[in-house]
Amino acid sequence: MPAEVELNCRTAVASRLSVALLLVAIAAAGCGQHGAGPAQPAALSAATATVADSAAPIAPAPLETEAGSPAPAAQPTTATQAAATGGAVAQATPDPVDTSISGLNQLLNGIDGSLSGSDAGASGGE
Amino acid sequence: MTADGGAKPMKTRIPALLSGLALGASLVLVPAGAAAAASPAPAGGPSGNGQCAPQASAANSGATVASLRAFADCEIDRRPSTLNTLANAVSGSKTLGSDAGALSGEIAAEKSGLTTLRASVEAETSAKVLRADLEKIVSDYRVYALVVPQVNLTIAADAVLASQPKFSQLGTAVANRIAAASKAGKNTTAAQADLATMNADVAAAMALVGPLPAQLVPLTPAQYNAGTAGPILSAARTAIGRARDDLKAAVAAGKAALAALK
Repeated sequence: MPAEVELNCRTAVASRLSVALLLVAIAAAGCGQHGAGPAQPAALSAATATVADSAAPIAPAPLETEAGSPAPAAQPTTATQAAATGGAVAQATPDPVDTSISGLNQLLNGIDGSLSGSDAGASGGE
Repeated sequence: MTADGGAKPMKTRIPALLSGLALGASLVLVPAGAAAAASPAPAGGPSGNGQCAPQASAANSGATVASLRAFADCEIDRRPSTLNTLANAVSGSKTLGSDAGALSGEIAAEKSGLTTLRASVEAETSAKVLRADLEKIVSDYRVYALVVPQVNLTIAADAVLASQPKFSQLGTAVANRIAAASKAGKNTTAAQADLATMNADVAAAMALVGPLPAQLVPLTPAQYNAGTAGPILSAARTAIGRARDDLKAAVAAGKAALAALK
């Protein structure tokens, strides 16, 4: 066998071995991943937590108003907070009937005031 | 707004006038009096209780041109403050309808007339004419005897009338709740009776006050001097007081109806 032919043959063998090793390595890696099944969620959880941590400071920064005082920052809203706020709104909404009666009482107070003013003028000495 | 000053002889009229004005000086229109107590006299002059008593006393003891003028100035100057208070009450009223314009016009005319009279007093050198001017302060304007009650009673009357749609709204709301309670099987007899009482009270108040603004707004000092305005003012005061009581009873009945449904 000539030397050149022998070299080509060795190179071809080496290439095939490399390809075979690569395939084995890929297969091994695949098996390794399947074998490490239970560990994967933990890794994903950790990764998610990291993303969550890094996302936390994304809340909008306070905006400066013209007066130089910071505007209220947007606050994260939780379900509890939303429920509490909704409850406060429900409590603050007055009964229309109570509002109506209150308005009438104010009007009656005004009538009382006008009558008092009228009485004061009637004793004017004229 | 001129008026007949009456037919009494001058000699008897002047002491009576001075006495009347001295009494008038003791008048306190509640808001104006409160304002005077809280702050110095306004630029328009003194306006509070007893402000003109020293001038009245001086004019009584020696009716010179100077003393009469000082007394007249004082009496004129305290009236714009009262009229300003009335003007503010008119402009600040949320229930005065078309009467606001008429009352504002009357108040403005009174102020304008008193300003003119003051200029006349300042220029006058005759004690006799000053005495006549003093009488005009009262008889031509009747700020305290007529305009103060006239404006206040008109405001009160219009406020009573303005309450009607509010009571109507309340009555509808109460009736709806009664219907809902009845549908739910609740006994609504008491609530229905209370609602009927409320509506009757409101109707009584409206009947009492309905004609009053048209009677009050056109009153003039001349009518007061002739003796026809006084009874109208007095009757209006009584009617509005009763209407106010009716409306308070109506509110109580409305509350009772709501309570009966709970």
